Amino acid sequence: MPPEARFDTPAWHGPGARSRRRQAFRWSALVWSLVFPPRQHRIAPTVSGLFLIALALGIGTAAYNTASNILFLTLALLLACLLLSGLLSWFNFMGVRWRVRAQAPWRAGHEALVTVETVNGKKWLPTYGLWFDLETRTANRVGPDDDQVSVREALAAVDKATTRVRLFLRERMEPAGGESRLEWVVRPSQRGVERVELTSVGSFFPFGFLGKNLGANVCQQVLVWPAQVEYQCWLGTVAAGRAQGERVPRAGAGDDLMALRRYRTSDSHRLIHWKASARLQKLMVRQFSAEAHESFWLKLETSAAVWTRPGQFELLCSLAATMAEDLFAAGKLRGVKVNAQPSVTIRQVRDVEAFLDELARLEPVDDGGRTPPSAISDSGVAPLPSRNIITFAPEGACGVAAYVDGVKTAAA
Amino acid sequence: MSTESKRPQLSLDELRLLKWLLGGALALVSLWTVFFLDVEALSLVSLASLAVVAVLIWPQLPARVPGFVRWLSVPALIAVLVGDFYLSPETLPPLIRLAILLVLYRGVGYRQRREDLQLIVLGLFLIVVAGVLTVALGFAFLLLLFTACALVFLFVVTLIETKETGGGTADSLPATGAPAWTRLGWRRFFGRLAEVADWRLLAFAGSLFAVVVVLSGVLFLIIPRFEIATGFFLDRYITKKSRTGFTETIRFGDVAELISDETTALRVDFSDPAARPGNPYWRLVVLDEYSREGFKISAAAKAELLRSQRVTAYLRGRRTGSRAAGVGGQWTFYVEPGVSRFLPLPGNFEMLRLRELLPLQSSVSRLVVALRTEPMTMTAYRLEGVQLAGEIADVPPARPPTGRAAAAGRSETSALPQSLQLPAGADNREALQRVVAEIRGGEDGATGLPAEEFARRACAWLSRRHAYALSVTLPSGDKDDIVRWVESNQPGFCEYFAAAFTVLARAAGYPARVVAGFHGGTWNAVGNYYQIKNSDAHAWSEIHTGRGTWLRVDPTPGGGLADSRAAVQTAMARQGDRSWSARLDSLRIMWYRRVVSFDQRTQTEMAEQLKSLTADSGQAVRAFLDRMMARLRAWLAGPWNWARAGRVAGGTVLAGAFVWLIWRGREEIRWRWSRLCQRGRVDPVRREAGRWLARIGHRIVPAERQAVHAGIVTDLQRLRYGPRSSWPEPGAVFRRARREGGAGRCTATGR
Repeated sequence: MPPEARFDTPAWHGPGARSRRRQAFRWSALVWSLVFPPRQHRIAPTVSGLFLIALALGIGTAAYNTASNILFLTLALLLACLLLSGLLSWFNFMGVRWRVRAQAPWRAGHEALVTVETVNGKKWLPTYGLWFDLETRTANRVGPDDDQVSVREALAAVDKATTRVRLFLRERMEPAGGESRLEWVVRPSQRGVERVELTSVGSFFPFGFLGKNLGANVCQQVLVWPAQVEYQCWLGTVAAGRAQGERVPRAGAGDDLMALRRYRTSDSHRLIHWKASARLQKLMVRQFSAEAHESFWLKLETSAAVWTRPGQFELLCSLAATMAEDLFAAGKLRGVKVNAQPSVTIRQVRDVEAFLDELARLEPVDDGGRTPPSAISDSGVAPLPSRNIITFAPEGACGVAAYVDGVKTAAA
Repeated sequence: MSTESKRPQLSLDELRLLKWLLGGALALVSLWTVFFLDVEALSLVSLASLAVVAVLIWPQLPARVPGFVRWLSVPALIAVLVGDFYLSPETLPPLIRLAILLVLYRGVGYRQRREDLQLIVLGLFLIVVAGVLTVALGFAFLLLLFTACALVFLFVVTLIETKETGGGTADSLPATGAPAWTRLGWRRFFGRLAEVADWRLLAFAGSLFAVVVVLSGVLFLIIPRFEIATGFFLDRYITKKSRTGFTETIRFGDVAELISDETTALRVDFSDPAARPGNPYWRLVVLDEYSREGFKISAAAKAELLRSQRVTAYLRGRRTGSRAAGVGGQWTFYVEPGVSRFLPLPGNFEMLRLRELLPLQSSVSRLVVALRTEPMTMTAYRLEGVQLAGEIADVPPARPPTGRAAAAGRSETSALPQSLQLPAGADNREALQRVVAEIRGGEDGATGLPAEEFARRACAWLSRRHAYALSVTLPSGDKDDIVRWVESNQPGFCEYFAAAFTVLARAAGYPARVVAGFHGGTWNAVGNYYQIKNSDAHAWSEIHTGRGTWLRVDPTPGGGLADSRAAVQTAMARQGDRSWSARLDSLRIMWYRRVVSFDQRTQTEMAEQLKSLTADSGQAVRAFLDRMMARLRAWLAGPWNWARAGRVAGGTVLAGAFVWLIWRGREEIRWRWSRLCQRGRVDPVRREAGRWLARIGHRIVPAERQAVHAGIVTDLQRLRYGPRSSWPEPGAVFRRARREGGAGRCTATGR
């Protein structure tokens, strides 16, 4: 998922989501949809509904056996109530639209918010008692991929990687645009691509006889960044014994105001110059001169031959992500490089986020044990310097260590 | 979760209180249906209703009941059921009483969803049983009321369940103490209900319920019917006592007791209202055996009824006498439960059809038809080929009794011996003979005085001697009551007159018998049917003419009614009753006609009517089109000249232009129509001001124009949001706004 797509507004779904070209109403289509419901549309009787059907059958049998018109009348009334139930249920869903917002990015171990926004587009009638079945599933982590895994184990792995919840609309949704927001707090356990899906929308409305389910199939993919880890760092000690780093002109948090410039996405809101923004009718931010400081490159090599243990590899991702954020916060992150990909200079927050996105998807690469070239330059990006490069290597059975030019500087 | 709501909503506790209210209403409605039944449970129903009302008003009451009482209630219910079954000779009444107790048990306790559903099912059971056993119109109203309550009740239950499942606190029954919602208070609750009520939703709910009622009616009509009925089963498990006294034995005073009963006994529906009788007599039972207490059905008649019993849905009758007395069409009788097991008959008939197979008894010699037992429900049957003559054919029984000689004298029929029975005792007979001689006036009745003449003289003698009154004081003496009354000058009512005439006729040698039934009735002009009340109960006599017929003789002065009342009733019968009570009662006949009597034949007839209606409509449309085409052809075939052609061409062009204009401007018309529809919701001045505010309100203007701009914006805001009294002149403000808008555009484009 590109970072730009992170704040895209999701589309509306449901009966009230108007397509550009509205389909003409046809009775035949309506009748056919009643006979053969659309895919994933289900109407199932509840326990009380089954009881009502059994009651209707009993009264009908008695009516035929006795030719009593009173029983026929009661039977007709029961059937009419069942039809009314279906009609009201149809009214309840009519004109309702919904969308799912999963505010990306997520972070493993941190709480994230999934929001279901619902709007009642009916003109006169409110909507009651909807429920929304949501689930999240790690898309790229189904389970062990070797052939020895049985189907049951695979299903169990899928089930374990899936979190389900049913959100209920407790309040009445007013007609003519009444809105409702249902929130679900999720805590993803591991990094990766998380699939947030609204599987169905249902209701027992109005009498609890029938449970009507509309298959929603609203899906959104969210990247889960690696979890933050505790690590020991000796970077200051290492840097103090070295020559001073290069001076780079960049927008940073230095003391000296360099200029004002237009706001760009991912700029900190603290840097907005409100007076200038008000005067010029556009958002302006303060640009400070960069200071001379030590800057480092993070270099990740994820050879499957080196990172043989999955847990250790996860720790690598977490350590790299945490160090990247910490170094960026300290203004000491110059750039990153992942395997054979081009090195990327880090200038803004969005660059760090792109790196975290990359870490979310990162997998061990099978390079046959060859070590990739240490510095590959690419057009438009800075070449990897010969010093101040942080590399990572397994440490012990489950630890990971970071090295700066061969000197151990951090460990987790 | 957050929800933006515009209108207030009931909280969870308020919904629970509403559910409590509706549950109580359901319990009460279902309990009240038992009042239709005669199951000796009225006191139980009253107590249960009081208890339900009490806990309805004070919802905290159930919490004060000790826990052990709740624990003991179920075993107590079982014990009551077993005892009731053991002591009661019938099956259904104990079941109904058990259902009442269960409704009470569920109605006075705090309920969860399962108990709510149980309450609905129990209530439905009571209502259906009452409806099936009584076939009363009130059942339909109570069923509709129950359905409406149950639907709202289920709706509220579903809302509560959604709220509880979605994060609300579940309404678990507290171990001790009352739930929180019981302390809300009814005044506050009804205030909240009024606050959250939306008339549009209420109207919509009412419309939907009307749709349900109509839909259920349509379903009722189209549900296929099959004739597989073998008689209803519930009525076998319950019996009911007759209310009218029309049983095998009628003592003096039984019929007179009914005069004060204004409830309806039967209704008679005519397929041809023009053929309705003017002064009908509805025969129920023929009493031909005399006893000291009164007349009763003879043993021979009972035996004939028993011999003729068979399960059938129709009975063939006989037409006798002149064809002129025949009445066309079909007469449908709806006899209320509790009237009698004998079916009212206006006279001879060709065919009697029942709605369903029933055990039927008949006595052709006495023209009496009876059910085996007294029905618990309304009994409907149809007569075809009714004959309204005052004479009834004297038909011998199907299997004449052996060992009984024909009656002495002029009678050749076997039904006559009982019809000559006199009060025992010489003094009784002497007294009767003395009176008979006075009536004859010296003529020999056995040879020269026909039965009709004797009847006329006897009636005249009785009218001269006795007045009509509902209270009778008999003189003391050893003779039979009726003989003492004949000898006295005391007033009497129809039973005394009929009995006196009968014994006098018998003493004179004419076979005679007493007939009990109804006389007259009210013609309901709203529903076009006869309504006969229990107060129309009457007794009269039949005397054998000696020509194979029985002649009806009504010796009661005024036909058994007081003169003024008779006059009113005759007028009513002639002109028809259109009072409000008649309108209400016509609902009942509609219920009987359209619902209770609906069967496979009616369904088939309805389908055929629908088919013919469709065919007729199609033919009518086709004929109309043919006529129009013929006129068009005739018009086209007319002489053409330039003027006519020009008029036609001009008209065609104008019509085409009109259609073209409508077609071109359809979007404009639609838009203007929508604006016209929306007009009135928002004041047009405010709407216009809002439009100008949106256009120029946030515009950045040069410093030299800011003061003017701010003034215009302020005026526009005042027009948009301010009270009408503070408005500046709208037209001037809009003109300034228009200029300001133009100036703004010029500034923006740099001109």
